[in-house]
Amino acid sequence: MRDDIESLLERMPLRKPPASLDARVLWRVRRPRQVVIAWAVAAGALAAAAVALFFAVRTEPRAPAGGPTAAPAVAQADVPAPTDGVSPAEAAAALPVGGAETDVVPVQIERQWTHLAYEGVVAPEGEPMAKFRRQVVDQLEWVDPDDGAHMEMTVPREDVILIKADVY
Amino acid sequence: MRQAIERVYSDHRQGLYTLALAITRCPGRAEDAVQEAFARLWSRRTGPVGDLVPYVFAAVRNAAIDQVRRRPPEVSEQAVSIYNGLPEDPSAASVTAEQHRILEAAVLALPQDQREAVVLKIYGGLTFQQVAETVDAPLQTVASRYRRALEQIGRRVRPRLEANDA
Repeated sequence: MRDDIESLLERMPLRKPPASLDARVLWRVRRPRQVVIAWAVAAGALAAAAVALFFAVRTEPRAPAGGPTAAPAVAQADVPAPTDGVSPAEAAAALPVGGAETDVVPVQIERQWTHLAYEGVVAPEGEPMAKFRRQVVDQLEWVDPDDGAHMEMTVPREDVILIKADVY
Repeated sequence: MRQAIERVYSDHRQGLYTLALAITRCPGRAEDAVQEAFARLWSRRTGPVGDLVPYVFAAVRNAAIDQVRRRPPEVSEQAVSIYNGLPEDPSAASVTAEQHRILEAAVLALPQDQREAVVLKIYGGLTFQQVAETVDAPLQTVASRYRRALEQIGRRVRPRLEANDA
């Protein structure tokens, strides 16, 4: 009984996959893999390298200064609320702290959007997504209250944002 | 990896599509599910350690289930069968119109797990071991689901076919 049911089921005509399926699947498989660049990580590494360089220069032996050594009064400037990524608090926390030699104060962290471009609908995972490319410039300033040494850094970065879209 | 995935697709495209259709019951979503599964497979950097075939079937199954979860079928939407209609020429058909109608209804009436076992075994051409890996269930469980499915189909089909023959 089991065999004849199996035999009948095997003989049933199946609905064929549409021809478009081959094109869709093979296009997907034959397309090179997308390389995702972690822009935030790259920007973070750049910032860390710049800070390390700054402190390497700062810790070199210096001749005793003849002038006053009192630190200038430095207050943190108004900081715009970040929309994402590294917050000012995180940026400040990322700086080395501890000894008087390495204490620095972030005086300004400003984030500017320079460009936001809509790049159409893509389907990286087979699902339609609206793609936006956002270019952001982070401008950071630090000051060492010990001697007023000042450092500025500009970190450009680019984000690709995918937002799920219903496309019919 | 790419060639292996392409080979699995070309060898099993009918079975993969039938599996997706059995879950989604919608040709458009079944097509989307198969494509989505291959997109996911291709975006992974590593493949399976063992057999690639159940791995691909499992990816299609998961994508089809995701399709249904994301957009449940509307009440007015008519479920589409995995079976095609019979050819106009009856002599070209491998089953009679009556057999077709009864079997189609019997398969549609199966619980989802049993229907999957039938689809994977008969239309996917998989071994029980591969079916078990696809649905992530023990071998004995899938063999039992398959056996119960055939018994249930037999109970529904046999008396009606015998009555028609008589």
